[in-house]
Amino acid sequence: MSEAKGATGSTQATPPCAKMKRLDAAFATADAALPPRKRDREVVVGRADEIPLGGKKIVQIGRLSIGVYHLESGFHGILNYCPHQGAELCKGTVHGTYRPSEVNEFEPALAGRVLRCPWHGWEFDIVTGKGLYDDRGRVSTYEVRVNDAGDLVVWV
Amino acid sequence: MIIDCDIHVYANHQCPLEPFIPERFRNAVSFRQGSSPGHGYANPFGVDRRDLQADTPADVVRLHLDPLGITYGVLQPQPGYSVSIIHAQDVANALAQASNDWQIETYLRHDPRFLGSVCVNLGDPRAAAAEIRRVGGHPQMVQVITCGEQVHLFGHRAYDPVYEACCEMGLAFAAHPGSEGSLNSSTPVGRPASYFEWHNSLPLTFQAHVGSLVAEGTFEKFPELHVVLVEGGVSWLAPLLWRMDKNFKALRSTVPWLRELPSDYVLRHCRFTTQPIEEPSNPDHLLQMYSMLQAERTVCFSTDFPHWDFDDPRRAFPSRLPQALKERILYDNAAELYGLPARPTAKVEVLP
Repeated sequence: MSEAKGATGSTQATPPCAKMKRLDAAFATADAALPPRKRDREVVVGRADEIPLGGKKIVQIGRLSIGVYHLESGFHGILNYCPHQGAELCKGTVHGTYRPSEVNEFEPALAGRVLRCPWHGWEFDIVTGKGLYDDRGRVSTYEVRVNDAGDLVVWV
Repeated sequence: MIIDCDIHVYANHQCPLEPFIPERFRNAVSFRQGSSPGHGYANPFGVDRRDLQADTPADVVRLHLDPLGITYGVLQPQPGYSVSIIHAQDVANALAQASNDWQIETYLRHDPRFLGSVCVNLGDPRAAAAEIRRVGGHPQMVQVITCGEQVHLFGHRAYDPVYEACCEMGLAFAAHPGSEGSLNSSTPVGRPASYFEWHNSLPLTFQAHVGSLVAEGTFEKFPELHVVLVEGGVSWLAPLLWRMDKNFKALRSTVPWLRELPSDYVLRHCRFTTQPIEEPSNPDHLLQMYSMLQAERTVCFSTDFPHWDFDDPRRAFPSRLPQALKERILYDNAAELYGLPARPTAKVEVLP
């Protein structure tokens, strides 16, 4: 068993030569927490103090519906549309999840930043939009800033 | 005066029951179609083909390997592969050992085309692992075998020592149906009434085992393990893979050790044998099924010789099965699984 376990690699460090498995790749993307891609249009969607820590607000900008979440790491915007069957993603619950682990172990991860679609339960990282079920699925995310006046500004 | 509250009497040929059985049921009763207590599901017409009698290695060579041109034949020794359902563990272990020594001294010694299966008692996993190490190094032993009926589903961690020994000895782990109903009902709801109904529902066991092996992380713990599901059919697989992959998207965090889609694990680690080949009224439907479950890597040919539902390699497949796929099913997939010589013209694929 120990030999077999050794062959799979440990949870945290994947051997650089091995092709990363699908779920390790998904969590690597989430862990990297890269900011959303740069966009050039700024839209004020409300006041920062409207959304307490742990809260959210769904805003409509033209045809875009975006969930603005107030996490420990700041404000984050994510498209309110599940890539699976088009549910209003941001009506789902927010929680943590478990990262890929050794068998029979549970390693909590991404506490407070995992959005679970209200329809079929697919998990998405709010910060990166990465779907936490395979290596491909992803939802658009949007940069959100608070300006000097205390307004919430979304780049779309 | 005495009253005896327990006297057994028997119907027999001198005092027969038959005249009292309604006439239309006499055949059914004589064929034991009512099944019997315990396992209870014997084929009323006999499980072996009636056109031959194969009692010795020489018989199997003469009646099967030679006429059909079988290059290698993997043995499924009976009663060895079903010793796991014996309640007395020491007896089960002894019978497993005997079955393995018997294979080596009879069939494997008789002809190099015979390949052996190490029979194990999964009820005693440590003894099973020891038995795998005792005889698994024989050059003609290619897999470990047990029955689908078990106390636990195959992903249960109690069986890890068995899989560890399989990997250590370079052997696949195979399961064969037939004992379903011995320990538990053969369906999750209740007991089938007839051999027909029982036989139809046998794939349920394999579906449960495949799901368990995936969900419990067996293939993460033992990345070199290959599992062979013998005689369970194949057409149930694709819908199971779809169902597992779909559920995984919502429920991954309950099995966080899975790093790939369930179907990734199954298609890489599990192999399925053809017999009893499905015979849909439109043969193209079988070809579509083969496409869905990637038969070019997952499906291996089998005859089930000498049983009644035998498949002849010359006649079993739809005529429209592409020749390249047919060759992979008839030979290449099993050759890669068991580490046998490649066909001279075969495209070699090394199993991960």
